[in-house]
Amino acid sequence: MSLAITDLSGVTKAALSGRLDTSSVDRLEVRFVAGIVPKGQNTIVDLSEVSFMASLGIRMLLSVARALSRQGAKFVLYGASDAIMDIIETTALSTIIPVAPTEADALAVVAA
Amino acid sequence: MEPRPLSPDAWSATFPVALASVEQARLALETYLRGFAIGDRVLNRIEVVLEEVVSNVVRHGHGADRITLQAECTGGVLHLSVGDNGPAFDPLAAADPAPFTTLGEATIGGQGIPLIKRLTQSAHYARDGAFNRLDLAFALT
Repeated sequence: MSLAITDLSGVTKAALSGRLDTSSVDRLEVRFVAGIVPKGQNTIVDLSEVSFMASLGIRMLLSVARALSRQGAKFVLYGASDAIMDIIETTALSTIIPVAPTEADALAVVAA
Repeated sequence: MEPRPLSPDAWSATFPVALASVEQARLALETYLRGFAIGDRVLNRIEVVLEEVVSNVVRHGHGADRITLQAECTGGVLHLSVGDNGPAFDPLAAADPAPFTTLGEATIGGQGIPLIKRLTQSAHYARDGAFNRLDLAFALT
C-alpha cells in the first residue's frame, strides 16, 4: 500500500495504491490523516490503483471526510474500480461522500 | 472446530491468531477457489468478508489461539466456515450502526459486521463445542 499527497493549486490530492486491508490501514492511517486534515483544503482521493478495501479503509476515508467537513472543506473520491465501488455502495459511504469517475470530475465537484 | 459434513473435495486450513494470518488465510482460500469459475465481483466479496471475519478474531478474539477455515463449493454456492477457539462470542448479534444521513452525524467504524451480513447470501453463528463458528454462504453466479 502506498500513499502520495500532492497539492493541485489549493486542492489536496491523495493517491492511494495497493490493498487497503487491515494491516495496511494500521500502517497508513496516521500518515493519511496527518497529510490531509491539517491543511483543511478541499481534497480529492485517487482510488484508481486501490485493488481491495474493507471496513477499516471505509473508516479511514470517513474519518478524514468528517474532519474536513468540520473545517468547511470538501472530500471527493474518484477512480474506484467496480470491486471498490461495490464496497463503497454496500456500506452506503457513497450517500454522504461524493464519488466521481475521473480526476477532472472530482475537481469539478470540489469547485462547485 | 468440529468437522462439518463436507465432501472429500472440501478444503480446510488452520492458522494461528496473528495479524499475518489475515493475509495468509486470504491467499490460501484464493488458491482453493482458483479451481472454480468465480467472477471478480463475487471473489472480491468473499475476500472482504474473510478479511472482516479473520481480522475480527485477531483483533477481538481474546483467548483464541487458532482459526480454522473450511470451504466447499457445491451447487453454485461457496460454503465457508470460520472457527476460532476463543470464548463464546456471536459477532453477528451486535446491532448495526445507524444508517448514514449526514457526514457530520456519521458513526465512524462499525461497518465490518454489516459488510459480512450484506455481502453474503447467509451468515449464521453457532457455538460448536469449544469453538465459535461462523457459517457463511456466497452465491457464485
